[in-house]
Amino acid sequence: MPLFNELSINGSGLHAYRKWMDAISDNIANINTTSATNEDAFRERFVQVQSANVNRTGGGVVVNQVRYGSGEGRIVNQPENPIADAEGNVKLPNIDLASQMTNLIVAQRAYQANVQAIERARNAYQQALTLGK
Amino acid sequence: MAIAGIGGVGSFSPIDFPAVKPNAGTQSADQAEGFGARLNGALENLQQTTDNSDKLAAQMATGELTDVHDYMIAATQTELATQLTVAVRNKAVDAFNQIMNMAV
Amino acid sequence: MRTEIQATINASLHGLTDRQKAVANNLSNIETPGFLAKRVDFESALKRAISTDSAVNLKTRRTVSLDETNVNGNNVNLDNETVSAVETELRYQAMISAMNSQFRTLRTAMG
Repeated sequence: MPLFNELSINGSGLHAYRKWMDAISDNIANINTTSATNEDAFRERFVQVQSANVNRTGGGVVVNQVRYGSGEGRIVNQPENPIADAEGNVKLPNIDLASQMTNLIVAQRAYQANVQAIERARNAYQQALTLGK
Repeated sequence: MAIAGIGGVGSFSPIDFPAVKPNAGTQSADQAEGFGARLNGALENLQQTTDNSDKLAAQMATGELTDVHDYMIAATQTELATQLTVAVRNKAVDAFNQIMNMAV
Repeated sequence: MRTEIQATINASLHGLTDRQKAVANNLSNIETPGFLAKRVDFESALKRAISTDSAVNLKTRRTVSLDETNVNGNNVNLDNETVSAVETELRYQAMISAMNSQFRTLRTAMG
């Protein structure tokens, strides 16, 4: 919809960054999820986005797909864990909490920026609607 | 301490109303038909301005219009052009009545 | 010509009101399991009526969003709905001012 287009452009940003925040939340929620050594560990979620080039000024951002990191994980000795193998080992995902938190801040700030841009666009449009009054 | 005098107000650029622009056709028209032809031209211009703003309004209704300000400006132009045309018409009618009331 | 454009503006006001209602309904069902977001389309019918010069129809088409659902079968997206609400509100304002402009012009012409 070309009318009030700026809103949907930033709306696509909101969508993408919420998806990213969802993925990061999932990564953090599963940071201590153990799995058996013969299975894949929890695989880190990555949100892959792409700019939507519909015209010269662009059409916002689209979420291409959600990709998964490696399921290799790291072996930890937890003999009391019911799913531990004969040597008492389990697998933990190889997720770095610090980098997740940094990404979360980036995503949150970007989300806020898009909300702000929508607010500004709305004000500008409302000004335009008073033209000639 | 020297206080500078208040400067004069800069010149205002005149507003270019679309409806009263005399076009080349009316200039060369017969003297007797001058005013009528001019009024006709103004009305045609008004019609064009109105059609344009109506077209933009329809585009806005279907969401095809890219910039709202385009419509807002066109609508304001139409309103002003209509006001101006009506004002000119009223003046013309007044003038006619004054002539009719002239004692001969 | 004037009545035609007023009918068009009227139809879009109808459609936008319908869309605003659908958005409100979607937002109130944001946590309802299995609820699918509703979409309102009046633009394509209006465009067709204008291009074929036929009478403007006030009927709007309601469809169900085909977006992916989350775990409870619900596919209402808070961001999409909020942006849609803002956009619909602005468009409503724009159409109201278009209608006001029509009436003002008519009143001037009569006066």
